[in-house]
Amino acid sequence: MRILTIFWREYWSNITRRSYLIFTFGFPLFVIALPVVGGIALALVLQTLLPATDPRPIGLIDQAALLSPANRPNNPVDIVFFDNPAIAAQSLADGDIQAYYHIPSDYWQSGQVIITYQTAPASQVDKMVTNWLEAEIRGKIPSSVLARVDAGPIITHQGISGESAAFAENNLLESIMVVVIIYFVRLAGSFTASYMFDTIANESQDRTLEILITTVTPLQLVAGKFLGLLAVGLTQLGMWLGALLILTLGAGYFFGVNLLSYLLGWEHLGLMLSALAATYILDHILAAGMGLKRISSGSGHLLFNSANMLMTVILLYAFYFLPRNPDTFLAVAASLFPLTAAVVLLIRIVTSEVPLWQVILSQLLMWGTVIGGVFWLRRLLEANLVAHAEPMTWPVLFKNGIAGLKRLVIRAK
Amino acid sequence: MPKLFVVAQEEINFHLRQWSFYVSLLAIPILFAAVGALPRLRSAAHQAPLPSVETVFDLGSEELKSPVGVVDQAGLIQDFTPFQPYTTELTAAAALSRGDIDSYYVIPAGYLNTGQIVQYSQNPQLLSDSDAAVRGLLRDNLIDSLNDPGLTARFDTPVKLVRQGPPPPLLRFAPANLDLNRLVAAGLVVGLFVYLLGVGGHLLIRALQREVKAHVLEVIVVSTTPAQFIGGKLLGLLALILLQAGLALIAGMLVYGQNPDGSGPAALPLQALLLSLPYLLLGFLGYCALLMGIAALWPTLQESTLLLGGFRLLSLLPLIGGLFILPDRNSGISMALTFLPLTSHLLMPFRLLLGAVPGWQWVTGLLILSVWTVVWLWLSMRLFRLSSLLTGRFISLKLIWQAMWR
Repeated sequence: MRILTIFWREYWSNITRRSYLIFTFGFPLFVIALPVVGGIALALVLQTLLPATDPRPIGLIDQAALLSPANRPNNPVDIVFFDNPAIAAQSLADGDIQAYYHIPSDYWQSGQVIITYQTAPASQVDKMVTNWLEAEIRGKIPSSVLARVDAGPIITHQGISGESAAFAENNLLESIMVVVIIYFVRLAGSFTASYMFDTIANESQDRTLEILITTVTPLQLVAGKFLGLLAVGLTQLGMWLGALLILTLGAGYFFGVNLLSYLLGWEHLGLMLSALAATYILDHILAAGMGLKRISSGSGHLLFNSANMLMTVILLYAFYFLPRNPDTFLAVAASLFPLTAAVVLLIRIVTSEVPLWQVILSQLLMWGTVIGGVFWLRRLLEANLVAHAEPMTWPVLFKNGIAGLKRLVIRAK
Repeated sequence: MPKLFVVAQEEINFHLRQWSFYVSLLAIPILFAAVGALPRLRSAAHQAPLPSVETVFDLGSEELKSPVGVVDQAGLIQDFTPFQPYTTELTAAAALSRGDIDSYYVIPAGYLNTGQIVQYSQNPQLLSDSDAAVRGLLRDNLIDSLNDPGLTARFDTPVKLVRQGPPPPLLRFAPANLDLNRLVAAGLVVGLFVYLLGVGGHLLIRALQREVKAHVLEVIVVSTTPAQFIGGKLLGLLALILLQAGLALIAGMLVYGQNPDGSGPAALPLQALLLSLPYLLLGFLGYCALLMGIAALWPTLQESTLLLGGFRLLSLLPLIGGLFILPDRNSGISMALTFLPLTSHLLMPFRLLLGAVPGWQWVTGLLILSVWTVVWLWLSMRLFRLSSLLTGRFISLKLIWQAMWR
């Protein structure tokens, strides 16, 4: 009951704060607004740089008998046909046309089209002519060949044994969606974990924890506060994911693509949810642990930011290098290490065949670390209260780390 | 000693006692200088006998790195180069088992209709090295199957425009005569200024949090005036920021423009840097005053962290103005952006580092920014006084308005 009281107090007081609501609703708006504002600014700049299009028509002499006048385009300017270059040149000299394009009789061999002008027509005019030529050439190719050349092959990658996994190109969309989801969850996780760190560190420094602890047990306090703050983060994440879901459904409705079906039908969806949930909780345990350690105001944030930067490096590795070499020693090790497993294992799963033992071991290690982390938090809280530990410093951190490692080695022996 | 300087001294001393301050004090100049040496490092890496690293972005190569077979059941392929042809799947599978080939592709009879092909290998994965090559093989052979060399050639290259007239003007985002090295140097200095603004805001919020946490804010406000308190904090932080900026710029001046091949950022012009510094100073003061004013109205510790995050993002918005300055740094809009106090602290240094700016524009921009900064400093002191007088009460717009004039 006390856990529930602490949980609800932590949760409700946080989610009803103005700044929380502003950040929750404002951040997605900002993320959308920034590229929109930047895009509009860029479009305005480009518009000022582009020269105005001359409205006069262009001339065209087709000595290769390639083009059909009935199909002539007229955007951004009209096209006037001439029988020979001399008449077109006279029209250009009179100012009736802005330029003329001459398709010589040896066009099929040379590919050359001669354009004559005094001032070069706008690039859109060149584009109009070249697009028309391209369309006429494509019209001479059998549709079955053309369709296949345009679409290219759909390649499925299959193992030689019948039971091995197959990776078709439509998995590429799944993998992109998985990458987006992983990135989004990691980004949101870093925000909310930072929040957990700040809250716990502040409370730890205020020494209100000691007052609380006289009425509840350390485990009740840790569990209540941790779950409350975790729920705060999940609420934020849920709101952002909800908005993303609505956008995805809307985009799917307008473009006729059901993006969600790719994801919901994915055979590894359960694994993805499990891995992301474990890593999300693990991040928060670490954040709470650092907060409880009462790391001094400067280095605490530095350490936390360093951990986040490390995660960025992992994301870079996983998105940029891993899909090409998913079975290296580094890839396997990072799939098993709890702090990197979610990102690396999931990318490996969508791009290659991962042995079942690695998947199971990775999950066991992740959730085992989560459970161990909760008890570690409890120990930290007790130690923190009894000893009223001094602010953590780097030398102490390393000293303790080495001492802890030595103890582990002795125990192992 | 005036109380303002006592507060400033205390603020400086606090940071000088933090080892993390020294880390960032050294790290930023080193990082700022190291960017100038990157082209040399890249060149050294290119010359070193290192193996190439495969990434998701180099999948387009049609060169085969290992032997790969093709079984063409559709009868489309005339020229199998560089693949190894096999007549049946069995022979290809046997070759794969023997290790003669790394993988083989099967092009089924109905390929033209379905487009489906399968690659068989020992370790199947989504992205394969040889996919681009097999795409090229299929495309080339399909076009060759038309048996019309002219059509094949024009399908590949429909048009080669031969111009009889002056060349068309190139659409360039930046002027052709703009020194790219100078642009890189300007971008780096503006980037440094953005970073210093962010750090300044962070330190300011943390300074305020420190006083609130220690429950000494009330003691401080009864012994000092808002001007002394805020002025002292800002002065202390300003000294630290200037120290960091100075070290980073000196490091940049020593390193930039030194690459033998002329690559990397250009040498930092001392005059442009000196003319930029007043803008950085005023921009820093204005930004911090703005932040302080809002933090005074919204003093909850947890909230101020979020507030700071939001402001850091907003402080990047003026950089969009750089898009307007690049094409023509003397246009009306470029001039306006370097007069506007919300953007001038970053964009005037950007303009100055790209080339000379008329003296009257530098003075005008500085005057407008000075007025803006003074107004915000005055406003933040008023708001700070208001928030300390009305602790625990909801601060309405009416109260804020009244506080302005009392």
